[in-house]
Amino acid sequence: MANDLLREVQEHSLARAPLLGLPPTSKALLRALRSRLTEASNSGEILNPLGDVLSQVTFRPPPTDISAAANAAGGRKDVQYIFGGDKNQARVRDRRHFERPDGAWFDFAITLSESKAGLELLAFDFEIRFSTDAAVPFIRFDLNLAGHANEAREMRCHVHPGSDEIQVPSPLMSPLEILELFIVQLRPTRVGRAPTGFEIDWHRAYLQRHAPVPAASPAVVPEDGAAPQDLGETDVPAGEGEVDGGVES
Amino acid sequence: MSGLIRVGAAEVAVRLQALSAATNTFVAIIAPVLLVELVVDEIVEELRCRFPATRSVPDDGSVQPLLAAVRDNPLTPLVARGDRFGAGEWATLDRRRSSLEREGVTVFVATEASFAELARSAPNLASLFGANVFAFDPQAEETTAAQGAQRLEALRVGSGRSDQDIIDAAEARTLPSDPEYGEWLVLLGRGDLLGGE
Repeated sequence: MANDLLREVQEHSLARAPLLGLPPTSKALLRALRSRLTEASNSGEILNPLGDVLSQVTFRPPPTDISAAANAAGGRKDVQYIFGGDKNQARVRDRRHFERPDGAWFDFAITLSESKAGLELLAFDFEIRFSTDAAVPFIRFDLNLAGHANEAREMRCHVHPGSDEIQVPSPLMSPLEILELFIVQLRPTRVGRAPTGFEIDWHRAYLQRHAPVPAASPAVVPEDGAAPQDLGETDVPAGEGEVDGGVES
Repeated sequence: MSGLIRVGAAEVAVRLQALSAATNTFVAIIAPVLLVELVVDEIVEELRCRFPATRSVPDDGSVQPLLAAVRDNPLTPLVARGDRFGAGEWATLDRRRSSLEREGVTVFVATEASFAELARSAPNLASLFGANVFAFDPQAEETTAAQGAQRLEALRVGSGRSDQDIIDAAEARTLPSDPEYGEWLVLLGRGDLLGGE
């Protein structure tokens, strides 16, 4: 039953494909992506100079030597991709990326097929990483290749909301729509909102599990000689600071 | 022509945008004979991202379409083929160079031979190009070998798998279809393994 419902969600999402208004060719999509990023560079929406837009958004056309492709019966001969920024699965800032003035930074990769019928999105991943203002480290929009196990789970098109391990169904969006989200829209609606005790304790427990503070770490001793502060406590109403043990499942 | 700066269509557009504030700007793009028509199309499309009214000049081998386009479009960027112009056509344009003066940028896509003829037969017109002569680089838009290598290495490290492992899994149809595997196969030149219609 659950799978049936999710299948409907997935079908609804993927049915949007013909309505995305994709440019007719991969070159045209490349130009449109560069054009929007150029606007963003000119307007200060991103910090990258214009040269980054030219050098970081490139495409890989189909191989000119099609002999290998020709040997693969039924295989695609027209697959190519566009990427923006370096591949960065480790999420390190020294890889090339695009960056907003608020500290958010992003990159993307799009695998697509170009034919006389037009462009077809085969897969993409768009990931944006945030400053701590956002209270979520990153968001990634994925379109998986058809046939993936996720599709059986009705999750071919999904979002990772700050975790590689959690997927949420998402609408199918065009690369230009997601780029617009990244440049303009995806940002905290309220900066400075105090996190709840649940969030504070959750993050503390998460760090304790994955990056524990060494035991020898000295406590903070106030200059007036008072008792050391216990940094392990928070001012959280009783019952609101419990870590949900199921969060990391 | 080997000393010319090599540019792709996107860089041409960026450079023209920088030049567009000036009047009477002429730019020459030197392209291989077989690519001239393609280069004209690419530059027109790229320019239209910044100057939507950009027009390509119809080509019949004579200078008349160019003169007409210049007369009718004083502000619009124009992209013209110069590869079929010989000494006579260039000499005509040299004599009528004041007719070519306009606010919009004029781009000539020429071959090395036709541009050399321009320099011989139309020295006054040639002087208007100044430093705005570039060689077209058809690979300028493409992922460089170094970029491709960086991405492949990132994919190997990120997954702990080898290129051959990925190809074997794709051939056996057991490859997970997370987006990066599609990219991985394309980088290996095996996008064909992504499955058929």
